[in-house]
Amino acid sequence: MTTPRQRPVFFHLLQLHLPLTALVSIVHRLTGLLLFLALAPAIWLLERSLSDAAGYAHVQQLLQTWPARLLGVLLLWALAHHLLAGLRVLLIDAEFGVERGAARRSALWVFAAGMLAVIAGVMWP
Amino acid sequence: MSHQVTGLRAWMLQRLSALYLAGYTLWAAVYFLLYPVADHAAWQALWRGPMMSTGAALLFIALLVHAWVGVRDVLLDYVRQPLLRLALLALLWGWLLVLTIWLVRVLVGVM
Repeated sequence: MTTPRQRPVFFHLLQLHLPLTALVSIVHRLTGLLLFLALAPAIWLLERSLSDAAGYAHVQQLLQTWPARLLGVLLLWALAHHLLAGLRVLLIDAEFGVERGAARRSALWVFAAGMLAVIAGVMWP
Repeated sequence: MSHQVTGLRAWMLQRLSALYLAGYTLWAAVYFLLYPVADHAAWQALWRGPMMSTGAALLFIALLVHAWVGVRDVLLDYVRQPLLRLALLALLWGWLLVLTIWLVRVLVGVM
């Protein structure tokens, strides 16, 4: 027996409206992947900074360039969002804030804190 | 694979490592805001101390476990083609192994 192919298909991405809670979740995943990709460059920076005084100075100087600053802000945001969205999931696992209103509010807080991290990263001297 | 980590075990590993990572990250953020690193000698001395070498060794283990479960979940969700899935999982394994060896070298190198 074949299944009738009459299920509704709606793939208009601009009109699909994700609820905030779903958005927090997908961004949690995306930021996780981003942080995973950042592992190798981060280890390289750690190795170089620990090697000797010249390596340390090199890393310091490298981190001051604008592409590094930009990436740094991006990764700081990713870390903040991933960490807080993760803590939110842990709390929900422990049955805190499961109701729709509370879950929506905590999702909003995660995004707000992420934006704070961006501001902090941009303002950092 | 002789011992697969599936379902509940992976879920537990994900959460346990998450707790350690979250705790360490918050602690490190506060610590470095309070005591900025002065120079290379201070930075190196910090990594020779037990707080950093042991704490960071645990951090790296938690990080690799966490990354493994996380990326594995993403691959299992989105890659449906069995051979491609297996290849990507193997690639993930290899990559995490490289990172592990590298991290051990960095930690041993500083001691």
